[in-house]
Amino acid sequence: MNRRGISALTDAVVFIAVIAVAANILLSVPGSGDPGSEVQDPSEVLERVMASKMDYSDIGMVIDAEWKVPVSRLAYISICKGDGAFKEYLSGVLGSVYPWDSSFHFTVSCSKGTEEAGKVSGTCWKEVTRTYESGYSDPITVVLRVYR
Amino acid sequence: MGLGNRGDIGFPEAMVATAAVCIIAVAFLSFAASATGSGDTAERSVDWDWIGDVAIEDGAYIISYDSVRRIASETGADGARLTLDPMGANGIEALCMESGSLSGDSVGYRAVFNIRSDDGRVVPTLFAAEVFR
Repeated sequence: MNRRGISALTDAVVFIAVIAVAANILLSVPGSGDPGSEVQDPSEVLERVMASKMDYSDIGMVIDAEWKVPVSRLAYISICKGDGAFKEYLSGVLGSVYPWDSSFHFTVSCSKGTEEAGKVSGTCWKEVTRTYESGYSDPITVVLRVYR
Repeated sequence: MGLGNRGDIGFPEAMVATAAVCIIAVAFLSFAASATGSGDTAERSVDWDWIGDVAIEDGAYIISYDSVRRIASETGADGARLTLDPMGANGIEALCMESGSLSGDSVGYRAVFNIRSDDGRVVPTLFAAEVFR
């Protein structure tokens, strides 16, 4: 094989390497890294947490009462008080269900304000937007993104 | 080693030769990976329906031990661990159940379910199953 052959072979190796890298990048962008059946869909997690019924103290709120209240209502009260309790509570739940670094980001909003927690990072695996009755004629909206 | 003048190849021939080497290398690596991969894809993932009724009474989860046994047997695992975490609900004890051998590689599954408590609360509970193979 002469110099021309070596040059052609080098070109071919470089060409295939570039194609391989490009294919790898394309395959790694959308939809890959799906956690599959190992973790629950974010919409189910959110629905269940918001439909649960707890005491104020269960989510870290300091209110001298022992009523069992839907968590969607607790979220509204927490936003109105600005105590960050619901934000911390939901962060703890999501961190347990999706236990990898920077796995989620959410905003909870109503007419009284908006709170957010988590970190925007990497590729969004699932995005969920849900609105819940707060019990005070002022619905709250949760936008949750889970990253993988 | 000197370079000869015979066997002159151009870009198309070099492409074909390199592509052939790459294809054979990929085929070999795929075969090697599947031979050493212990057939994970054939094993079943956890179906949460295997867990029967769960309740909370006097601050304790009431659940059949068959749940964790079934997770181990249905997934074809050597053993399994199931934990129930009340995620902040005061006065409720977390629960951990184990069945079989808890050694070797493990895969974890997580899901939230609302469990009714006898004190009136509906507690979002983290179910975490770990299966060992």
